[in-house]
Amino acid sequence: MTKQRQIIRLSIIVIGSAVLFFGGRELYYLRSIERYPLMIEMDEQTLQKEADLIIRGTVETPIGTTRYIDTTGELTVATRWQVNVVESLKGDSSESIVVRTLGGRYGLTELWVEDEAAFVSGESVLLYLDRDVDSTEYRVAGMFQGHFIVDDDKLTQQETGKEQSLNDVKAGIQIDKNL
Amino acid sequence: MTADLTGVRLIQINKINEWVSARRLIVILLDLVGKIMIKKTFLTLLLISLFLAVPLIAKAYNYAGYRWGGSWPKVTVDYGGVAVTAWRTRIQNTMNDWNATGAKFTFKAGSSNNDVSVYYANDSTLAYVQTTRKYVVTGDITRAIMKINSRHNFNPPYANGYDFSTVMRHEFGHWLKLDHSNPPSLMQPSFSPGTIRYVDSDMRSAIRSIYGVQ
Repeated sequence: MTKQRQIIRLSIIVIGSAVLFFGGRELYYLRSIERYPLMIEMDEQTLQKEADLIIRGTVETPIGTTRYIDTTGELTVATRWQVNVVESLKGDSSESIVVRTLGGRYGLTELWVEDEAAFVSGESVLLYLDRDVDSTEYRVAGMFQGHFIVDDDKLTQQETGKEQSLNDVKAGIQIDKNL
Repeated sequence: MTADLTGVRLIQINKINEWVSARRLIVILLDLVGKIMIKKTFLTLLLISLFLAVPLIAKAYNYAGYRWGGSWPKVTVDYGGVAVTAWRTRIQNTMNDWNATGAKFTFKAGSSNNDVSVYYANDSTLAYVQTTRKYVVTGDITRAIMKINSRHNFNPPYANGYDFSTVMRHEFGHWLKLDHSNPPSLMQPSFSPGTIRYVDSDMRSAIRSIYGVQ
């Protein structure tokens, strides 16, 4: 065996061992939690009724993650997002709000939540939002159900591909206000 | 002794108790793997692709990709903290529904940290299951819990409410590591009041596929 091949093999062993040791060590201690919520089915009318705030805006960068014990008594990790508000269709809103989505990683605790609204920095959105009593932060009503991607007049529910017209949504909210 | 295997040299170890240098053994294995991968590149890539694709293969169900460990997991569910008698009866019945699939998996009632409990939250969640696992090589589940949100009207006792048994069947499906599926399905991500779903043939196939057949 040539000296060069010996060196290459030894390098692979050393690097591989280091990756396994450090990566494996973190992976061993990493607590992975998966949550599977079953939601009530929310059509457009239900979303409008349940939402405390309906806004059109832009998702900015995540502010950070937070770990806490939630109302169910379970350890929860949430990601906080800054959303810049372009237009408020229902409720009063400031120019920038914080929306909290369940899931994320905090230290060695990782929470993944099925069907939670999946934000992407920079995306233009229509959000149906509600919030807990005494909370200043919003959450997406019905999880994926209250999250729409905006493209001119077209609204697309990211999870299902369901489409709506922004103008139709605005008209529906206006009718509700007038009742 | 050495033997050629399609051009790859394989060294046979005659005495199991004989001490072999760990470094030599790792070098030998790396050399072997490297030669196989070079000579059988296409086969290697195909096997890797199939391995990665297994959890993603679309069927009438979606599998989370990991499960309870063991050849026949018997998971104890503690629902003694659920105060409503009619709910406890339905929880046991829906556990029996999944037990009747013919798969090598059994739910049983008893004292355990895999518990079912009731909470109240002002949100649109009917119920949820949460599983915990350690990211070791197997990734097996170490604990599962179920929470039922009493904010919503369930049937019983509300005749026009969300069917409690359907919700329980759905949640136990997650307990078994099924993900959400497109409606109409027991595992669809949301329900409206009065929706009733059962453990149907797709669900039976799913659990048998994941845990094996009795």
